[in-house]
Amino acid sequence: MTPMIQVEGLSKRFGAIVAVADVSLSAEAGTVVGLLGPNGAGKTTVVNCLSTLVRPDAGKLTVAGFDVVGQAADVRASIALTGQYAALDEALTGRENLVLFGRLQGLGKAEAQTRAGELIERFDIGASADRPVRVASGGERRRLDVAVSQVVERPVLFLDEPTTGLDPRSRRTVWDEVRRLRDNGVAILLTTQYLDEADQLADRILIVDSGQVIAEGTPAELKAKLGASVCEVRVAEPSARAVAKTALAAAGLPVTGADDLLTLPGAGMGTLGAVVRCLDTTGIQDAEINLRHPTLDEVFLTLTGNGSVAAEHPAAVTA
Amino acid sequence: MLSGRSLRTALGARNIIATVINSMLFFFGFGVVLHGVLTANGIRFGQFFPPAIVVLTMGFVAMGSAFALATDRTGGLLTRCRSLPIRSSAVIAGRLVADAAQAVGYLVVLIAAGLVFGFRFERGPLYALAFLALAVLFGVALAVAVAPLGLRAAKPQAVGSILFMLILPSVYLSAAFVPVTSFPGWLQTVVRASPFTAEVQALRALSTGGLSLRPVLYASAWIAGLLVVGGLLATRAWRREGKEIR
Repeated sequence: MTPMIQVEGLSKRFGAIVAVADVSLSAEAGTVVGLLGPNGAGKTTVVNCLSTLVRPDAGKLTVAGFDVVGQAADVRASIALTGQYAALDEALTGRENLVLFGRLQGLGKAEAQTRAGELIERFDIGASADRPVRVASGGERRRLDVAVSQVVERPVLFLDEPTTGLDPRSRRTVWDEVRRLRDNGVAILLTTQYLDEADQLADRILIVDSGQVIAEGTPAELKAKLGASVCEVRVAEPSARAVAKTALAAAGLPVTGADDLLTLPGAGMGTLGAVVRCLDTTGIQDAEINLRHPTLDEVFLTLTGNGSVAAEHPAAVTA
Repeated sequence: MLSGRSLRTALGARNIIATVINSMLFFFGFGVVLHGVLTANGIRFGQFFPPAIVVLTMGFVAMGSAFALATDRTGGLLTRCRSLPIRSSAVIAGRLVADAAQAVGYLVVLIAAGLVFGFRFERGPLYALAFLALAVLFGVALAVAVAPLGLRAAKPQAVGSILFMLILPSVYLSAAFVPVTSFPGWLQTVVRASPFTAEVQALRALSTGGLSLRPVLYASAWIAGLLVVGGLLATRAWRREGKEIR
């Protein structure tokens, strides 16, 4: 099966700034590919090149089998795009925006109205549908913006940071819609800076930094890349923290981290046992010990070379 | 075209009240101040003044157009339109049709106000139509001329303030509100060369009997020039956009 989105060796620079360097990716119908990276990583440039907004410097890009440079008009007829900013007419109401973009894409008057009604329902826009966009909240705008991109359903969807700045409920609505579209066979390229979003939605994730793909795989593969589990030790009593670290190190365990959170990477059940025995011998009574899989955050931060790790702490074992 | 219209008519409907209020403000604001001076200098206020306020208002139409363009661009609306299978010419035509519609709206109100103050189309209905056409075309031509600014500016507000500083003095430095001869000698050259002078004199010639119609030619030339140069620059700005957005 030919992928609906195919990028081979995409490069793009703006003046002296290299925005994207040799990026390749592909997405088949009914799958979500996530581009995950910090601000300025080049995610939007990839989307802009694919949606014919920006001409690539190098690389072969096809969307729904059409070349983005040579067959731009055909590409535009195959894609839906939700950019980073809500691209709406502020003076119009949500409903009018939906009708407007329906009409712009050749729907009849009645048809556009019906479609607007459906989308208002599906995207949970009801409450604000008939007020000018100007006075809508951030979440309402974003949902409306995604809805506008769906006025005419296309086989390929580009979502550029669709949930940045959204409240949890709006976020969920957008996520549900992304899954629904994927299940309907739409090929989706999603950019995000949120690891949990990529984790939740994407079948494959490409981690980009400074315009380059630094890692690629399924969410599970990427997590596995960081190796085995991680063991964390939190000692409640401040005065006992240094003692605990010294004791663990003396026991030959690979302990790292600050005093209040000690981390032992590459851990297994053996490590867990050793930690418990060591702390017990040292006489530390009140400590929390977790054994968990690395989060995507850690994969991300390790790969992008950003030091501190902000991770979740499911209570696995408490000593 | 259809798409462009539907895009803007909805906007237009909302602005009618604002249009009426703005036009009246311009008309009476300037009118009250200038009425005495002009009359004292033997100028027929009713016939002289309305074309001036028409020209100034067309300047504001162009300003509004560039502002709207910049808003659509920075807001992502233009980007979305580019990603859709619609012609860019439809987007541009939509903008210009909206500008023209707005210009017509202003003209109707301004001329109605003018009629109250004794403004008459002394040359008859055909010239009256020519007056309207030349006024609207001037507004559209100015809008095209400032479109590149709207397409390049980082912020809509910047476009607003730059054009305000550009258009207002240009209108003052023209024969719009006072006769050319009332400027000091060296400034008269500047005033005579101004497109606003050409336009206002053309409008006066089309509405007032006995004046030479030559300014109509100059005004038409200016309109053509603004359309061509502005059009080329705007096209370039539009294309460049494709290379620069990130």
